[in-house]
Amino acid sequence: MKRHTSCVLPVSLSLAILSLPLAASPGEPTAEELLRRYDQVMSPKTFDALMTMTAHRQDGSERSYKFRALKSEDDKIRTWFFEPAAAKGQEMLRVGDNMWVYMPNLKRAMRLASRESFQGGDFNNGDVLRVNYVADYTAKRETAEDPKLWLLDLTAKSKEAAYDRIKLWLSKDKQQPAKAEYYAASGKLLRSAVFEDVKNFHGHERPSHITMRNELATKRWSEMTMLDMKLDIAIPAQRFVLDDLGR
Amino acid sequence: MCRRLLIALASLLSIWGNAERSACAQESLDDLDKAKSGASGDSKRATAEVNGYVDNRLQYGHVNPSTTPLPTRDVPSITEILEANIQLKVNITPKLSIYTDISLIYQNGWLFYQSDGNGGREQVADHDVASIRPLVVPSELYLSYAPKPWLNFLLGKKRIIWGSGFAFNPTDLINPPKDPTDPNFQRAGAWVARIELPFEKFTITALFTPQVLYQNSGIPFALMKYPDYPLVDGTKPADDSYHYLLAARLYFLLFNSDVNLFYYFSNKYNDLLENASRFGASFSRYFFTDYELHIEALFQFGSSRLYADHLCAAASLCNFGSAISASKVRDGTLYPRLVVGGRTQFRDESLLSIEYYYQADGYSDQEFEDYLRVAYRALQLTGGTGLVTGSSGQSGLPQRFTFDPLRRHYLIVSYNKPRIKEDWTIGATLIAGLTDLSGTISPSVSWSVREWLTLSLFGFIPIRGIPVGQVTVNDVAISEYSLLPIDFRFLFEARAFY
Repeated sequence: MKRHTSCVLPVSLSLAILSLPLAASPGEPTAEELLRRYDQVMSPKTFDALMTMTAHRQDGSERSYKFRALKSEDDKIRTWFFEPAAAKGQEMLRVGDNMWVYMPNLKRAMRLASRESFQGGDFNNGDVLRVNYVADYTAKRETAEDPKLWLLDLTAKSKEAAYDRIKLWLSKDKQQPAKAEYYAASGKLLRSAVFEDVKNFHGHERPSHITMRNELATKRWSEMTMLDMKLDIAIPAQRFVLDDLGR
Repeated sequence: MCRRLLIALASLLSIWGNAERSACAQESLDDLDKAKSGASGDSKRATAEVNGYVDNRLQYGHVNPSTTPLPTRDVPSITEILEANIQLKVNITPKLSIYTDISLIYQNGWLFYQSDGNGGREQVADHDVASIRPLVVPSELYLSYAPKPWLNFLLGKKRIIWGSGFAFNPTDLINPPKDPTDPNFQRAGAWVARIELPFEKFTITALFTPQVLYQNSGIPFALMKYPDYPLVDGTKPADDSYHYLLAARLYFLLFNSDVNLFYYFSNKYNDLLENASRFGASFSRYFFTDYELHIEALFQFGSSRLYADHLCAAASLCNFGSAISASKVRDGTLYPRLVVGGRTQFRDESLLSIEYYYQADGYSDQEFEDYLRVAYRALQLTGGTGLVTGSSGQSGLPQRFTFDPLRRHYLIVSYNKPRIKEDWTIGATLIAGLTDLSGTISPSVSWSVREWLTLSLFGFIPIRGIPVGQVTVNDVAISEYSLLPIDFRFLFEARAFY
């Protein structure tokens, strides 16, 4: 019995040590720093951006949306859709945990949930309108198989976050997001993303192309392409007010 | 004259050209801003954005005159509606803009039936019906001026909806009613003068709207007060009152909830209430991440609903001039109207909305029975003309279905499931009167053939109800929705966006 215990203990200890979050070595970024870096890259303090989202469906066809997004200093986001014609005039707004969509045919705004699909594609509303990982997730560092990448394990702080758990990889050289996996509370893999084609937008470097795969319907995937992005934009606070939608 | 026409045409073409450029592919924000302000990129130049659609609706309804005390002579079995819509926004300066949402509508109807007097129906020759003539509907046409980010003036016709109800808004006293089987359908607004002060956490709005008393081709020619003279068709002024509504609204975002408080003061605005004050409130919030809950309520004293005189209805002989009247218009009783509902989207992206609607001034069983007795007797005495004539269809777009509840308790359930097969969506809306368990069910299937083209098929099937809560008139058990003059109706719609 004693001998048995002495054999098991080192193995358990090794497993426990392996499962512990990695402490950052001197000179290496901490989990919190990497998370802040992700937010800085993907959702700078203020921006004005032009994007397209293309949803590839199971039958091989695709639907494309073009929209402009504005972000205010206090983390509010508003979007305007230009294409396709059927979506023209639609607008979205996020203020804190609140999201609304303005439907031009309805002539009114309606509330949206963060986890609802963004325009029927494989991104959800939170992926586009709520990129504030520092506020929404707690992060711990883990060991990545690829030595060129950092790995973060993110756990949602509240149900308002877009996902319950995220595994996020960032490149060590430029500290740019490389890929991500998005999980449900049950541990089921919902979606996976690849961040590619880092471009310089008026002095700001970020991946210009994100591919989001739906792991529940594997023949479906969506692409988000950043066409242009400007930072340090001054925008009146009233652009981020519910009653301004549709004006 | 010719020169002016040419200049106007050239201006329109110039605006159209700018709009077309803005619709073309832009790959940068500068491209987008240039396209919006013309190729020169001159931000002081007027810019325009245009979009719209062409929509064709072909409808067949099986008319059954024996189910209703209302005349069916003017209800066509086949209806064709062709709508060309343009939505044009011209930004004259960054602070001043004009917006129009105008539909040109050709419509016609064929195959009319009326009661043959023996429980059956007989065909009536095709004839002119005012409500299915071609028309122009300026759903919105307004000038908006924002001298400061926190101050906005608006003058013109606009659909303004403040309440949180999804299928039905009891606090919406301003606009033409919408179709609860398709809340996207009614876009027509009211002529208003509005001042709005939007701040970060709250918005204050004050609004004045005069009632449109006469209009032609969608353009009003008598607002607020009837002219002193009769119209050319002999229509005499109904009264010499001022018909208007004043509204004030306070919106605030509080604890992640949309909260609205309303005050309305009206005089004979779309109803018979004189110098009436009404109060309202609405609330909307997401709970447990995915479940939206909303409440919308209106409180008013008196009701302009028409009630039948009980003694008159029960008597064998009656003066129909006074048999039905707004007898509760000045009774001082508080009549609340309330919608409580919720909405959620499931993991498969299907959307479920459930709403309960209560109106305190709806008919009780006795009031409903009295109303029907008088209505049926009027139909017999007038040889089919009855007490009520069809709506003019001038207040907005021709509707697939109008929700005009008579009783007190209703349930509205709608379910929509997109992508049953990529671009195919199915849905159904149930409107149920809870007093007599009658209602309508409206199944639908839509196919987005292209990004710019949607084909849809809608059905409308009355549920006559079960023998609970029905009233009996002339030995016939009647529920509210058994009064609909159709056994079923199907509508095929093709809509192309541009």
